[in-house]
Amino acid sequence: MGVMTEPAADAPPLGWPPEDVALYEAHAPRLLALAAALAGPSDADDVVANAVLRSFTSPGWRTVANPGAYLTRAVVNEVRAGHRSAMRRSAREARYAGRDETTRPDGDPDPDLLAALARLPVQQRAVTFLTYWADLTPAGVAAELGISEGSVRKYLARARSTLRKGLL
Amino acid sequence: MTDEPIDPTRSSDPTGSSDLSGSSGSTDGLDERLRRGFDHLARAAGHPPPLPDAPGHGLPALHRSTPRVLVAAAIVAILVLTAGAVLVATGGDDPGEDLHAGTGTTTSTEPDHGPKETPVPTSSHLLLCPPALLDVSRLPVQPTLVPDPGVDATADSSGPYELTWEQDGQTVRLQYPGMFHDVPMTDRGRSRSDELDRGGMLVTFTRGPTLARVDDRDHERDPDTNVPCHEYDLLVEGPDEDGAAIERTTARTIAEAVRIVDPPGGVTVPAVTGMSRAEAQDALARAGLIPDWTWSYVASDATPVTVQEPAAGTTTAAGTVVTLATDQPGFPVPGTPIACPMGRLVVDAEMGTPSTEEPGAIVSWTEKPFPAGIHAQVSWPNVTGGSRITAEAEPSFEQRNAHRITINGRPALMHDEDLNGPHLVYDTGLPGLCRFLEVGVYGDGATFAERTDRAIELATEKITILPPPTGEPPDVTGLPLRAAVDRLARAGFAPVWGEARAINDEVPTLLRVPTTTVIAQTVTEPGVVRLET
Repeated sequence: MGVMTEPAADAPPLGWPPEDVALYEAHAPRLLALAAALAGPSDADDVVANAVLRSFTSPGWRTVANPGAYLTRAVVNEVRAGHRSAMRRSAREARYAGRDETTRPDGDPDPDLLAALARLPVQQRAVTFLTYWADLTPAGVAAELGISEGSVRKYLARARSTLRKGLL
Repeated sequence: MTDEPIDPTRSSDPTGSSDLSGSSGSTDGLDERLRRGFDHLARAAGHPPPLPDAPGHGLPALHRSTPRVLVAAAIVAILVLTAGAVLVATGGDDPGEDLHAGTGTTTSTEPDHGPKETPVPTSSHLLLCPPALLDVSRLPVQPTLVPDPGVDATADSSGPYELTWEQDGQTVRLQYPGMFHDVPMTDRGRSRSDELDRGGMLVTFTRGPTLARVDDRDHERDPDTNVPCHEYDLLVEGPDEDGAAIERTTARTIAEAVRIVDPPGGVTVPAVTGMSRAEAQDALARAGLIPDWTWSYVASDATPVTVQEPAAGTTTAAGTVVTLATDQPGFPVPGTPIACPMGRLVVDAEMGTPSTEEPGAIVSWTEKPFPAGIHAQVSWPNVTGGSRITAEAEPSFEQRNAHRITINGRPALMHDEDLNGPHLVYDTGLPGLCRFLEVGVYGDGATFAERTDRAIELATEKITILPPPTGEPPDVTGLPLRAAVDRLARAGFAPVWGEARAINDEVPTLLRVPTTTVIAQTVTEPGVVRLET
């Protein structure tokens, strides 16, 4: 069992170029919000950390034209690549251990909505988040996720239809 | 935690969303609920973690603003939400609990029609799974048993069966076992999409308490739930053809009522060797046991069972899995039968460890993530979903975003399946089933051009097909065709048995390979053996 050591509050991260550090600081809040929307708030920080690490250490990182959008996609992929499996496994284990299934984070004011959102496919959730939380236009969402504008409209329409069926 | 907005640049008046919604603004308040919901999740996530140190500069220093116990509780909560209210409102395991159709609520009144026995199909419909595992006693109506419409109820065929009933103005179909069991992965995807496109809801159950979830096309399946007889499919269809009137609550209440259970008591394992596979499955299911079988790429219910484990006469608990093998005496049952000479496919170590977990994929590799979130998979024979390559001399490609390229002097085709990533289909030059090899690059963490380059790099630099063996192929005459195909492929030869080459039909064609005996074999060119049956 390793020992987790808290870093000094103002300790700068080691080993990254200054431009990467600046990029991370600029995008971390929205990446965290996106991760929370896709994977849940409790795992959001790990999702962001893993996605950023993968991005910064990937061979093609220096040639990425739009690093912000790249990081967005990295977060989405981090969730899609298996994060959900781990979450389900954790919850299953916890459920068998008799924990309280109905606990909701932070007094969630709209559990039905969050439940419906959680059932959406990750891509639909990402499009919905970028539209309604990040206030991006369809073109902006398309650029951020690297998909066509038509796909954005398709995913959002499906998401809204699913949400309506589940909520009304 | 903070209640402050996370992103100060976010405007309060979004643009471009109302034109997406299909209505100008949301009259039902959905838009605003979404904004508030996302705000809540963002606040709940707390402050961003500090950037970890780069590799080689000490341990990653992930900041956790929440104690572990709360993190665990939150994980549980999110999972519960993911599984849906199906689980949240189950109302416990009260055996007296009745079902209020369509309301999503339950009452504890005594049912006025008594417990419902799970209907058992007549002997004309051979069982795959023991009905005793499926507990429908809490349903408010007596289901009607119908054979699965896709399966002929004959003496040598078996399949799922369906319980159907009307509830809340909707038709409920409960198929047991789930239709996705023992179905190639490629078929799973198509079937799942079909179900959802009709507006239905798919609920999968596993043994144990409250493990259920509403599934859809993008949800993964837990590998540990893919156990025979541990799941069923529930489809609720509305009165209109397009399923627009589906009520989620109906599926929810049914999901609450029907359980996969451990039947009580012990049973004696019957002797099933010598029976047809279908008969053996039926005998085991009627004894309360779960039949399983070593996976075979040529499924035939008529193939005789040669091996069973546990042995006949063993006393065991009801619900125990009995494994069946259905190959010829004296011929080893391959763990993963193959149809192409996999021994000649050399994949660079960078590609990772071969996986045989997905029977539909025959053999595949999953690459280490490259770059962020991208995975590559090599499949041979390929199992492309959606691409269409004809058997013409000059392959045609009927996909948008298709790119016709050349690799090592042979044609290759690259297309982008929207968000799933590029698929490169490489012509190996071999005839028959093994003509095409697929390299799939999945994930959308890079541009299409980047993914395309990576797929081409893999095909040209990381994958090599060795020359055919110089010796004579093994004599496979007298063997069932499927065993002959496997034995030849393992010896490095490409078997051909005259099947038309159409990639989309590849796996189903393979599954339909007749079990007739090979009566002759001919080497038509180096490394290629044509079989006559």
